[in-house]
Amino acid sequence: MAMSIDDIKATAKKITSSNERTHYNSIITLLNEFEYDQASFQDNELVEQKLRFLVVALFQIFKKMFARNDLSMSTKRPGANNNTATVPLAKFNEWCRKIYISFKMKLLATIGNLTIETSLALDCLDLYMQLLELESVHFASKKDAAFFPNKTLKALIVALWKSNINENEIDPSNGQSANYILLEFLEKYYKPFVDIQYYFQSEFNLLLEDKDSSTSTTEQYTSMKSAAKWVTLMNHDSHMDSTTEELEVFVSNPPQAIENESKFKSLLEKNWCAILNGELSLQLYKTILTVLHKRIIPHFHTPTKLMDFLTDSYNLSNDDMDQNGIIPILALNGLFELMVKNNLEYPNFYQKLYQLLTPQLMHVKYRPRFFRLMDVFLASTHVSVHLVASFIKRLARLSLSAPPSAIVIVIPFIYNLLKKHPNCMIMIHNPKYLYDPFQTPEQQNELKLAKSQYEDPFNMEEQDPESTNAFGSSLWEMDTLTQHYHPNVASLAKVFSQPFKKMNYNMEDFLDWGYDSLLAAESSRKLKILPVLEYETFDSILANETIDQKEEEDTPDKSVYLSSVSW
Amino acid sequence: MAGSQLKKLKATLKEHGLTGQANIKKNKKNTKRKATEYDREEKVRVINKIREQFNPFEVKATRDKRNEKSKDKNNTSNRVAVGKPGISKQIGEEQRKQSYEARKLIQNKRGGLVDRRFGERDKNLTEEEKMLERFTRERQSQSKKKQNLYNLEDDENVYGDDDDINPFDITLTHGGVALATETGFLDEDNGLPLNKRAGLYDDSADGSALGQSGPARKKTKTEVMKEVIAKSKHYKQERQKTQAALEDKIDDLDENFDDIMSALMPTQTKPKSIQPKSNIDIEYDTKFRELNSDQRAVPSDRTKTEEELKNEAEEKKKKLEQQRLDRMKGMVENEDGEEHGVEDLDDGFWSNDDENENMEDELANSDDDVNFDTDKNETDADENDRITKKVQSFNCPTTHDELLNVLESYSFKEHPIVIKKIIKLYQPKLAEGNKERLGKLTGILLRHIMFIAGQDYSSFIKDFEAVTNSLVAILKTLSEKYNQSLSEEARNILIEIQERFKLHHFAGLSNSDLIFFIITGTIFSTSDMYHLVATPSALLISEILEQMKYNTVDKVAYGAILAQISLKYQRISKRFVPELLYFFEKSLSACLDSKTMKIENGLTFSKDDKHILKLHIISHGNDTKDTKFQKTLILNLLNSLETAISTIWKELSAFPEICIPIKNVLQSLLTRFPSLNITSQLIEKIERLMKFNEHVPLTMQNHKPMAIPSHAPKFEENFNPNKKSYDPDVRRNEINKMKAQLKKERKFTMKELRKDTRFEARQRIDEKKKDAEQYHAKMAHIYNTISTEEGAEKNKYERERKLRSGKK
Repeated sequence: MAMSIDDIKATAKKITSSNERTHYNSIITLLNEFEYDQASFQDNELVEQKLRFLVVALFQIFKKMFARNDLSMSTKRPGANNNTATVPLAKFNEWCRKIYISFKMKLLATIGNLTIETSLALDCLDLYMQLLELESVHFASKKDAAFFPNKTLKALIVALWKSNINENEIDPSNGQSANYILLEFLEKYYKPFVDIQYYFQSEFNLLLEDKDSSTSTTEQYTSMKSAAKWVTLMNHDSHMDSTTEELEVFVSNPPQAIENESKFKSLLEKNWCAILNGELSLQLYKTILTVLHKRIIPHFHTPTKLMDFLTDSYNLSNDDMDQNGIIPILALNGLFELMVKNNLEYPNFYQKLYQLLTPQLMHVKYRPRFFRLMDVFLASTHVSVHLVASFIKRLARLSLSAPPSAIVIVIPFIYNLLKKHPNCMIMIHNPKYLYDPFQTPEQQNELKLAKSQYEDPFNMEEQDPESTNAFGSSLWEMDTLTQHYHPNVASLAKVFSQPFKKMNYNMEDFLDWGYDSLLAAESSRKLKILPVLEYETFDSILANETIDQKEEEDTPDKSVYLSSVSW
Repeated sequence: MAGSQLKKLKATLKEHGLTGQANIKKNKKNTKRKATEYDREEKVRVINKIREQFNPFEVKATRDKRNEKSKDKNNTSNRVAVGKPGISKQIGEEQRKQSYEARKLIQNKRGGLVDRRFGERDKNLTEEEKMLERFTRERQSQSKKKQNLYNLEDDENVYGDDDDINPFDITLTHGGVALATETGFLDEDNGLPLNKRAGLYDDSADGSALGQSGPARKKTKTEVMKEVIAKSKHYKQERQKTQAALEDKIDDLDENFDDIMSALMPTQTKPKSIQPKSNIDIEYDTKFRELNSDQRAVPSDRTKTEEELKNEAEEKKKKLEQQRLDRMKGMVENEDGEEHGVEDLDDGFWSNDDENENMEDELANSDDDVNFDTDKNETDADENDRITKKVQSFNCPTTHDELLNVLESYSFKEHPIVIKKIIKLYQPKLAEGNKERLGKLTGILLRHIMFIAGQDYSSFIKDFEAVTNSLVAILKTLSEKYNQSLSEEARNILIEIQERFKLHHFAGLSNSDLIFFIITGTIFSTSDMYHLVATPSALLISEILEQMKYNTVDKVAYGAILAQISLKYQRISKRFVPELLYFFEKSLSACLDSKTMKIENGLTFSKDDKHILKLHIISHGNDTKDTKFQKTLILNLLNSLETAISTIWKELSAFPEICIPIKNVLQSLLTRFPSLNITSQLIEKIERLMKFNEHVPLTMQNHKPMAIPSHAPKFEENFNPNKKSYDPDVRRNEINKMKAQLKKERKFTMKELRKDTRFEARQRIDEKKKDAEQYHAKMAHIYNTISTEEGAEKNKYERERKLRSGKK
């Protein structure tokens, strides 16, 4: 059965070189040769090499056949105008088309069934797309008529969606698909070509709405894997748009329909909605939400269709998923977009926002994004003082167990809020409790009494920011942070005891700090002065258990650095 | 009035009656009346006025602005004279000339008479003052003399010091003859007359006779001149004679110089022996030189008493503590202190090295190595030698692998000794470059300690502990000298740990990292506000504490130790570490969660359970899940929580806020493990401390009210154009006045100095011109005389020739 590369070369040459069709039968043998066992790829590199050569050779043959009009539907042939020849010629063309279709099927099978990464699949994809281009020219109803072989594309989509590379199928970091064939298709064909984008959307829509076929296929396209693939294809910035001029067309003469932007948008929108209604993995969910406001909403015809999805996400309480309540934080951004541009109204928005301030917020990486938005939401000077006080107090409380990067956001944020709402200054300076050396004894007694009777009225558990009584509380947390171990954080916290003369802090300077950048700032410092040494000496760095048990009294002067750890 | 200036002058003079014949008649009438003083003065005034009028540039005048009538600018009557520039200039010129001439007189001259009379050269004194002063001085000196008169003790002083002040006019006598005359005779014997002047005017030879005969006859001029010439010749001869005699004497002395010298210094003139030195001599010389080069005996510092030593140590400690406190408060390093530190390094570097050696010797004999010494008590010295010899054969290790190669051939217990030997061998004073080598070794030693801490040592913990402790002690000693390289190494290690943690999370960490953090804590001053090693180190510990997911016992145990280290870092500065609070919350709730940690429900705690975690079990042992370890872990966590509460948190203003989550966790711990007594104690403690914590609203903005800067225009109510300054500060006002005066004076003086120099230059040119003129005149005169003489001679010659020709 096995043909060597040389054999293939010889056969292919025979077919393509002469003008006669005498050797067409050997195409069948070549096609039969296009059979493989995936397992053999690992063992023998030659197998793959041969197959790749074979595919290319076959493509050359079919290209030739296109050129010779062997595959065309029309019976007319240039140079052959006698009617007697039409009937056998039609038969011959039919036969040719048959083997052509079988070749396409084989290509798709390769794309859809391979479970390991080989360049053969990529070759197949490339050749298939080139065939698509050839088809658009030769299968057109008339010469130079606009035509796009959408059926062929649909077949490819099915194959792509069928493809499943065992490992590396899903990127664990963002839940998107990392299928290499899909990525190749995205980079090489989907992103740069506007016609492919248009027909892809329309065909994919047909696939999703396919009522005729069994329900399983529809479900197949709303499954987690499908969604992953879909998001991979969609998560980029080169969608067809009235503003993006640089996109090209793939086929030489595509139909006029591809210019219809609103049609494209509504198709895309429908597909998105179908996907979002289907299953989503948590990672993918996060990915969608992070890109929603930038890469999805602008391409929607009516963005309000996303409203339900977003409000549902936003209302997800922390208990629903053990993902530290990140989903609502992420949904906030898209929701904000809708509120600003589409007049979406959200009842009890601030209450919900207040509830988002959880201890976890201080430890997640989406923190800067959230604070950026919160800066916008609390920018209004018309929100009530109690509400602002609640936000301030809650943020301060959370900063007590927060990393320095979060504290560094919270301090300027609170400072800006205090600047904007001077009424809240009472939280850091309550003149009622000010000690004055010129007070009369009665006043002093009064002050003492007030001090002793004072009790913090703030209720951390209260969900409504209007009724937490934060206004009567004080920011001891900020005072405590002046004792922070990191010198920069400590000195930043000292702004509250300095005169409020500074203008607002620019939040952008503080949002993107992390342990990495803090440590990098430290390590980039030059050793100008020698670090000071500890003058205290320790006899041993860890506790000695034997001593600890027996001779605790005998050796009291033995100094130990870490007394509750032993070797 | 018309006509020339002269005519005008004549007319004016006539008008005032100063010239002409107009008043001759009048004069004739009353000739007896003399011109009174008044008339003369009046006359002078009038003449001056006329002079002024005719010489309008003599006077500098300004227009009288206050006079109402003075609108007319050309009206000379309204002009007020303010100065006479011509005259003042002339005066100045004259003064300069005077002083210049005075100076010129004494120029190139020595001696001269200096007028020492009081106040004679002081221009500022008036005649009367001078006289008064002179009088008082005279009186004073007289009174002084009187004092001396009765002062018996100072008698000798009186004679010895100044003969001039001889109060009694005492003259010393010898045999009734005054000694003064004797000296006079003596002088005469020498051929030098007592008084030249006397000799000039009274001839001693004739004078005595003449004096006796009667009044001296006045000599004729020729006589006087002859006498003078004879005398000067005589003196000249005398001088030549004495000069010759002196020269003879000097020659004699020169000839006999060697003899005299030999008589004076017999040792130096010894002829030098060129004989080769004997061996003994050479030996002696070398000994001598050696002894010379030896350090001289210096009185050693007094042995201090124990109390003094204690006091000193205490004082030093106090000083260090104060510096540490300053650093903790973030004050900038005291410049003096800093400099002092650097100086210390420079000064005592070498001597410190000796100390270092001593210290090492001490170390070798310290408790840590007792086991080692007793084991091979006899062979110890040999053993040391063996190690030394071996160590000598290789270079100072420059990488950790090299050090490992070196240490390979020794037993583990010998490692500290080997390293000490290496350090001793590469003392900086022994060779150049040793300092860098040892610096490198310090970093390597740090890595080595980390390395051995990462090994499985569970089978010989005791030895391991001893060795590690002595290695850490060595590192600590080295760190004082090689701070720089150690710090750099530590910072590199920090970066490495962070990268490992970022890539592999918990799997990237090991026990050696814990040991690194501990060593950093023991070597560097962690209480500083900012520290180049301690701050990043604390930051990294916090990062690990915050980012770890506490779902296994291992992780919680690792975190527990990190928490302990973090607490130790803050043991003095007592700074708040939020990550620590986060860690306690997370770890304790992880202990509650039986699913993730697999902690048995029925854990019962007894008093015997220790809270000391064993480091080797955390990483190497597989039995981390046994209940004993879990119990220890929980106890350890609670123990560090207790430390955190009682040392750091209780002083913070947000203590109640900090304790809310902790209390909740502790409550649920108590319900889960009822036998955990320490939990309930902790809760009680928190409640007790909360009562003490004064929790009242903050007053952080209690600042001094700030003054608003005013920008109102300055307006002087009592303006007075004569007043120069309105400064209310009298002192400052006076200072400004003085300054202005000084400036004015300086300007004036500069002007004068310039004038002086210009004058001098002018004068010099004049002199030169004069000299040149004189010279030319002289030359002209010479030429003239020569030509006249020549003419005369020529005429003579002509005449002679005519005569001769006539004769012929």
